[in-house]
Amino acid sequence: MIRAFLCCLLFAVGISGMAQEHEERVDFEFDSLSIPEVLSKFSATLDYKVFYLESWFTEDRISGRYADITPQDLLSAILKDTPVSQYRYGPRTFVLTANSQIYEQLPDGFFGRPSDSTSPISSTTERPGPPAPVFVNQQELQNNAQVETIRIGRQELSNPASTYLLTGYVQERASGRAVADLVIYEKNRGLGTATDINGYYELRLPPGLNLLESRSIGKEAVQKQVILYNDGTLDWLVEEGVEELEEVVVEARQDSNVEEVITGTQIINAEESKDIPLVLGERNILDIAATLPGISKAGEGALGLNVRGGRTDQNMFLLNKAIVYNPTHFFGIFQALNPFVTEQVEIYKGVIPVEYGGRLSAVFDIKTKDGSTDDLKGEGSIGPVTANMALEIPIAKDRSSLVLGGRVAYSDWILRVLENEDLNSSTASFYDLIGTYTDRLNENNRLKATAYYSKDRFSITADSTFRYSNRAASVEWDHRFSDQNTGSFTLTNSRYAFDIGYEAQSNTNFNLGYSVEETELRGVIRHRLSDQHRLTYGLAGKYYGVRPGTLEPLGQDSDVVPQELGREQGLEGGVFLSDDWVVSERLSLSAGLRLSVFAALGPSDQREYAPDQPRNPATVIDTLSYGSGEVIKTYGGPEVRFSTRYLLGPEFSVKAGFSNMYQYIHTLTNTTSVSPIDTWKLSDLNIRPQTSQQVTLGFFRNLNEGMFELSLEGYYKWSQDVLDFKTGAQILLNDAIETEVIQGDGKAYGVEFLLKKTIGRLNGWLGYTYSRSLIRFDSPFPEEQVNNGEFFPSNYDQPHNLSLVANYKFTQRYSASLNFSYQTGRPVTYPIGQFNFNNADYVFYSDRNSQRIPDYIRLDLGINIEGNHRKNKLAHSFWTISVYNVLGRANPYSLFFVTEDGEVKALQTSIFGIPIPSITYNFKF
Amino acid sequence: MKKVFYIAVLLIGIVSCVEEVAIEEQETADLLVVEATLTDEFKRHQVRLTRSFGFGADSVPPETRAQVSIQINDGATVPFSHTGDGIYISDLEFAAETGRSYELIIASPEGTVYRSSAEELPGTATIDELYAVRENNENGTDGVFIYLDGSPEQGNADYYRYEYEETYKIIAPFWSPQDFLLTDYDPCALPSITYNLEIVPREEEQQVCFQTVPSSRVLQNDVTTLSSSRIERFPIRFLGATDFMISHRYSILVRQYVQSPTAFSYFQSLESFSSSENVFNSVQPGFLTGNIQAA
Repeated sequence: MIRAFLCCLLFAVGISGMAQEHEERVDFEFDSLSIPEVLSKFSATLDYKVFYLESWFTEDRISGRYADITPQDLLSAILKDTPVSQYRYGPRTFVLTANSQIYEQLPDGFFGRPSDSTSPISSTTERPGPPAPVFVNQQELQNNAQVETIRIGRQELSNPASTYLLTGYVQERASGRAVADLVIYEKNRGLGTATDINGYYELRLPPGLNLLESRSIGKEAVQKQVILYNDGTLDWLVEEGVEELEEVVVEARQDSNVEEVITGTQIINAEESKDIPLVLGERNILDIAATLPGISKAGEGALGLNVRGGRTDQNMFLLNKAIVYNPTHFFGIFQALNPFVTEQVEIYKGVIPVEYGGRLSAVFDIKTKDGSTDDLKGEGSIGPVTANMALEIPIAKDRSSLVLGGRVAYSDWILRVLENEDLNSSTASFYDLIGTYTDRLNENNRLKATAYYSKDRFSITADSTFRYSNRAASVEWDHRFSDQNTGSFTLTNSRYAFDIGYEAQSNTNFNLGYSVEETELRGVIRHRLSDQHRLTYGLAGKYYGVRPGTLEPLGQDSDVVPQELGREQGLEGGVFLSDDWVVSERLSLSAGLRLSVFAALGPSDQREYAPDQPRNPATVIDTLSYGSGEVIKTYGGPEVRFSTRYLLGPEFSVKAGFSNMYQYIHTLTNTTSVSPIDTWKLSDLNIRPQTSQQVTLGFFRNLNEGMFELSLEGYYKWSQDVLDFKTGAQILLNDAIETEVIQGDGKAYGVEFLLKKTIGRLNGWLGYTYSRSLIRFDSPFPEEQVNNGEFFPSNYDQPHNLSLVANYKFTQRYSASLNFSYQTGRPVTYPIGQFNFNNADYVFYSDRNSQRIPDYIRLDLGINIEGNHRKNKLAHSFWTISVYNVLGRANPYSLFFVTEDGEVKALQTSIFGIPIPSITYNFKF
Repeated sequence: MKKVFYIAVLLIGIVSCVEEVAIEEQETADLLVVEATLTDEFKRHQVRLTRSFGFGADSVPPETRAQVSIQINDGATVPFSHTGDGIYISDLEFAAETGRSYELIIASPEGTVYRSSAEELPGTATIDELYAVRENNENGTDGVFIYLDGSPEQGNADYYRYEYEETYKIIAPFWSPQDFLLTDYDPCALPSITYNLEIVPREEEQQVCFQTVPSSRVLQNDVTTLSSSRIERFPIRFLGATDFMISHRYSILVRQYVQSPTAFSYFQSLESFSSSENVFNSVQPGFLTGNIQAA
């Protein structure tokens, strides 16, 4: 650009007074062509040479028909809506210039004061003739090379002015929300303005180079060099000011909890959460999520989260839009996400935005960092369990970068070093890798590509090895069609797989495998219709492929016959539209509708069961065969996503919402908590989708100018066709799984209270939830009933749940943090008696989940010491010293009844029954 | 070294947190417990009837007043008689035959009649070899494995259950051929207790004895996934090198039963409810329904 501009100036020096006699007149038409195409048609059909750069033009298509027009006027018409000017260089040559005009004469005083003049230099504004050309000092531009330079407007020789009007719109990059009260000012001249409540601004600036900077509390300052040629628009995307925040709580979204229309939304920032003490010093953003009201974990070794009384399979974990089926390592104790690469998690547990669908309870939208485009940066940690490293590698300056992250647990290696006999047979190891590439192709296009892989391996007995892995990949393309229209298009692919290897000295060695894979294509358009209406609409299509079970012989001596259960396929689609409508200053609402549809596809053999009999192998009346791609059954329906907010005062609002959801993929589990070897099953002829409806009502209040955020939210959720199993069901390698599955109803309700302190040395939050989660499996047939068809508490029903997370900053370098949690003990199925059988005593059970294990109480403490902040230090370091479970309480995780040597014993397990100290060293460069 | 220290902590944390707790007495139900295995062995078959009991009880209450019979689908009925302790023995010797179905009928003293589903012999199989091999077990402990090889004979011999009886010789290590005898023992005598102590030869030779114990484990195996349907090196028993059972003489009698898939899955559920393989996940227990119901 700069070079082109200079060339134009050189032309200007050499030419003067080009005559324009005898102008030819032409006819010309074009239809839906881009400007470069029009120009090439122009030069081809009319035999003119036109010089320009294609990058000056957008891809917008134009049409026009002109008759009896001079080529010069024709060009002006073509270039009408662009900042490009034309200059006739020769009889059949045009030179186009972006923004600037070519002057035919040098301005007065260009070579210094004329010798005959006696007066001082006259003021440029008074001078007659062409306006002052815009000169830009190259040196100055280069000094600010890291600042984006933007040229605005087309210089018009005929319309000089001393100032031009710059207008535009400012939005926040991550959320797309308008940013109000953002100050934009010219650094050297002291001119400035602020955006209005809808994010619009106007600013009068002199022509030429202006160094603009944006400032707002909690937003990252952005600098732009603007070379102004005329009136024009400049829209800004600003980032949340992550760097400015030092504590646990986000200042940036001050009042957003009150003003936000959609209820049940929470954001956790990875950087902010780094001080919270966690088990073995491993940062775990999912555990932090569990300290928020409405989100709980059934226990320390429990996989997954239960959101508002929902099963763990009702959550969708998205990593840069690609699903990760199991984002945890080692029985949920560690997260499978690299903490240094993770930027934030946005959690939707109430009314889920319309672009998401397919899971009943919650969406965890995990975003990774965009890497630095300037310098190589790195971050790492060495902890007792894992070593962790992340690198940000700039690829093209100001444009693209690569982020690489890797984590590996070395506990297995340590296990071997210890040479302890008892531990020889139990091993565990895991790792995860992630790479993201971000490219801001230009101001209208942004590309982000992500590849992720995590793997776990563990064995509890010497002859069996369990392995599971997650794979996720996504390509996200954000495109700005115009100021009002933006689009996001994503292509994702995810896979979850596990296998169990069995190796004994016999002929029965085998490897059992399972995998689920999905590929999704999604387009979302956001359209700012007016200040009152913002539309979101789009389409999503997803393909599922499940291999429900393969059995292969392991080793040469194995007699195992290879076996594969019939594969499952399905298509899930969604069409959605929502409107965010600002009805009045106080009332806003967000109303959306999503049409959700699922088709189970062949090839498959599906059994049909007698309708008025219990499902078991004896009641099969027919087996239906479906060809490849043939639709077995379709399910679906409309999903409503409605929420509204009414401002009762400037910092006080009431919100209400309603939503309903469909879910077509389910985990099959016969254990009391979820396990990594639970399989996912698609809905088919016999297994219906799960559905839910939720209503919410909440009050949100900020106190003391945003120092405290207070919220009280209640919900009631009904669900249908949630899955469970007949007692003693066998799940792995069962090709008639529907005979073991029972489907029933759920109801969950609760009140969530959250008090957050966001500002000051002491910050943190206090959350309390009272909630119930009940399920019912009723059927005319006793074998398909649980607890006689009455409602009973689910395995994760924990009525009282209290969390306190606090952080106190003594100095810039030292801080202490505390994490306290209390939960009602979860339900457990308790035996009511024993009997003697086969020379041993056994217990027998009656009602499921009739008793509870003791309450869960845990306190963690941590101290964080930052290394000194000397500027030239090679790496900044950060020590975390923490003690998990300071009270040493052996919190029961499960209670079970075993028969050992013919006698019944009750065994209570706890995962971390003693205080666990750890030290982690973090460094950053 | 630091790292090692922390990992050690982690392992203690994860490994050592299973503790035994007392079982709270619950409002219990009084259930009839039926244990009967019908085989193709020609003998007087046995049915054991007991009642369930609470956690405080220390003995198994037998059901002694029931009427037990087996009905064969050819119309014949085999009556059983109570012989004591809840054990009922068939009045006649008989063997289950292929192609016939058998139903157990129990009339309780309260008048309730319980019937089992009609069961058939699923198939037959043999034990080819039972042998001992000195090997380390999965925890690396030195010892002896008792392995079994077997093969199917006829019918659907896919699901197996094993029972065994172990007999071993005990030689009292600190045995003496002499005994002592106290006479004229007077604990109230003053100033001190008076007695006469005599050393006499032991009347009964009790240095050596034999103990027989039946298995109490659920031991099952299935060959549904195997092409040969042959049972190879199925571990019946592991005896550690320091196990007192194998100090002198040891014998094991193994019985192999071919059973139906439903019987197999009943025992499998019973086993999985009453054992724990993994600290993190325990199987959801519930009431296990067998193949006997009140008619």
